Amino acid sequence: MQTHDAVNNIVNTIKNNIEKIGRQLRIIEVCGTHTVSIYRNGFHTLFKEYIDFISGPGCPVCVTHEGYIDNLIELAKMNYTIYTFGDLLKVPGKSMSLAEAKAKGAKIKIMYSPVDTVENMPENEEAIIAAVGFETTVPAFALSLEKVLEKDLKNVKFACELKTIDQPLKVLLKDHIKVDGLILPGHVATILGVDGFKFVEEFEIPSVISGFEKYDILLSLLSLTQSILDNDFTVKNEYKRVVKKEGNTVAKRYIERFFERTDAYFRGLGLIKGGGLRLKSEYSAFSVQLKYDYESLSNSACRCADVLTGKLKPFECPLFEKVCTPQTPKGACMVSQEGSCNAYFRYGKWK
Amino acid sequence: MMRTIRKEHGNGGKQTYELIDDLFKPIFGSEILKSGDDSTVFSLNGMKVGISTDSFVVKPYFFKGGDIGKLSVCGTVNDLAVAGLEPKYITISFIIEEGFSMDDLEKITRSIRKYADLAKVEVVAGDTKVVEKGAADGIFINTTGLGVARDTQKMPSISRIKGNQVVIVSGDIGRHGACIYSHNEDLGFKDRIESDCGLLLDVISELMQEVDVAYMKDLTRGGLATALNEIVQKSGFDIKVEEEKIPVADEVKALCDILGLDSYYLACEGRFVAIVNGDEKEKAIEILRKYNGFACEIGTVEESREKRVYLSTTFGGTRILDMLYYEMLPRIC
Repeated sequence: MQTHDAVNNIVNTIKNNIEKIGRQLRIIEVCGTHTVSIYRNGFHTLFKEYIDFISGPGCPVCVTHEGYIDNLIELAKMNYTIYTFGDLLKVPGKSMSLAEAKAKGAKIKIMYSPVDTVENMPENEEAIIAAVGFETTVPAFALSLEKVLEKDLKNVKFACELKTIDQPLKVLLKDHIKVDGLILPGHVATILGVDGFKFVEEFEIPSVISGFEKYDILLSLLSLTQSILDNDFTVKNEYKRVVKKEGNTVAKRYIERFFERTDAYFRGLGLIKGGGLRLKSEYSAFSVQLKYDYESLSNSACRCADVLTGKLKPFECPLFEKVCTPQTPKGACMVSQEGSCNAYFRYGKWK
Repeated sequence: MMRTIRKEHGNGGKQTYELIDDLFKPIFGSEILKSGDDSTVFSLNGMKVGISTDSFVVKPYFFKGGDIGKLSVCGTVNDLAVAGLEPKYITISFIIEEGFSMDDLEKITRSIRKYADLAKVEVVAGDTKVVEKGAADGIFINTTGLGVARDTQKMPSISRIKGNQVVIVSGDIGRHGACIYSHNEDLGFKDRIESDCGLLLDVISELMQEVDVAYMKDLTRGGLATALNEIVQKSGFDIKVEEEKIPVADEVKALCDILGLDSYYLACEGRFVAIVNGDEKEKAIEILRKYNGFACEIGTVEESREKRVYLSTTFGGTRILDMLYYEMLPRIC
């Protein structure tokens, strides 16, 4: 009962803050895990008419483009075994997804830990590790490459489609979207620290680094609405039990040791300068050369870019629920369980 | 484009129902089949009898809390039990891949015998097929069960569901699915989560003696969410459940958090929901708790008829709890 009272007090304080601000707030949650948590816990109904939640481009599966999938399928056809995180299986390529390729006999295996994958890889297997994700997962790939070097393995390569969070956010805030506040991804902040998000302050938009549990999100909304009320643009940290000011310095050193910035194509946002990470030239022997034709990477009917930039709600997309569903995803936001269209498809309607 | 069967067609969720409704039912055309519950109850020479069939393809064959043999008896017997039937006979059919361990087959067969004895059902027919290496994955088992009505005056039926009745769950949910995931994914959870695989005969027998149960459904593939959705589709009434009340063990929650799974969709193999009138709920819960301390009221049947399952979240938000509509896959971060 005490918890209930405390929660009700916080909910009422958030609503009071918004009433004082005097308008419905547009808040972007950058990370897909936040999107799911917001919808799954009913925040969209709890703060209906108070907060318009917009899903950002921080779901690594959502922003992985079809060209990358096509490359992996081509490599599988050349008899490589592809190791991938499970939720990449559904991302549509031009002709098929990895799941469909697997059903047709391609050697595609699900991995949980790139390090364990390298540790337990059969010696006679020509393997490619699909390296996908933001800064959260990059250290794991760095560690697995270290393991490859230690064991002097010659049968493992990395297909890098790694992303950075700062560049797409800058593009989004500069060119695409007008929001009152940002919920920043706690997982990435674990690595980059509060310092890694200081650039957001330049845009003069209040922001908060949040955890993923419902109470984390509630407290982050309390903090964020207070910042909006006070016109305070300092990046707030409401995930202190995990996120330090300087981040995880060991993990950051690993990233810097093996990786360097490169341009990257984001499904829905296009090519972003410095938006990706590739292996440094001294490790190029462990990197797969990927061939992209950026011109062809767009689905004219798919409005993911508009969804990711808050111009459109998922249900306003002409493909939503008609031809674009979680089983037949046509675009970025329906692909992953953490995509905004996918979350809306599952939890978005309410009484 | 060639239509093909995908894994989701067998997960007990939306695609499974679409396959049954769009392909199987129109072709078979049986009026009895169209009633479409896990057991079919019908009159035969003046007797109310019921029949149920199920196939078991679980891997690993042996898991914490059970094995494919135990599962093949419990699954079919429980389907009969929730329909208000007393199971009498069961058939067992094996499809075995060549090279399968004879010792494992003996263990599985002994387990079938043990649980058939416990369920007081007699194994009356069977079949064995052996296929070449690669044509099946170890062992598949099909069981078909026959039961007779416990009490023809108090048969649970979807047509007896009405507004304001109470939805009760017989124990904590998602254990079997979590157990199988933990075995398959080898994440160090292997011996932490015990499957809920078990017989529901005693608890249902006592419940039906003491309470007039409107409807029961066991929670198998697709879990609690899918079972509730099936109930709203067939009854026409909405159901509203409260997140706070749905019992999930800590270790199941932990596995779900790590793998990005949703406990509401995880399979159970020894749990059911019962729908009873409000004035009988206390008695029903008291009986269920003798068998599982987690049994509790989780929600109500609403007067509204949108065929929806609503979930009230801890903070007072509401969202739709839909059917399982794709394979749950582990996530990146």
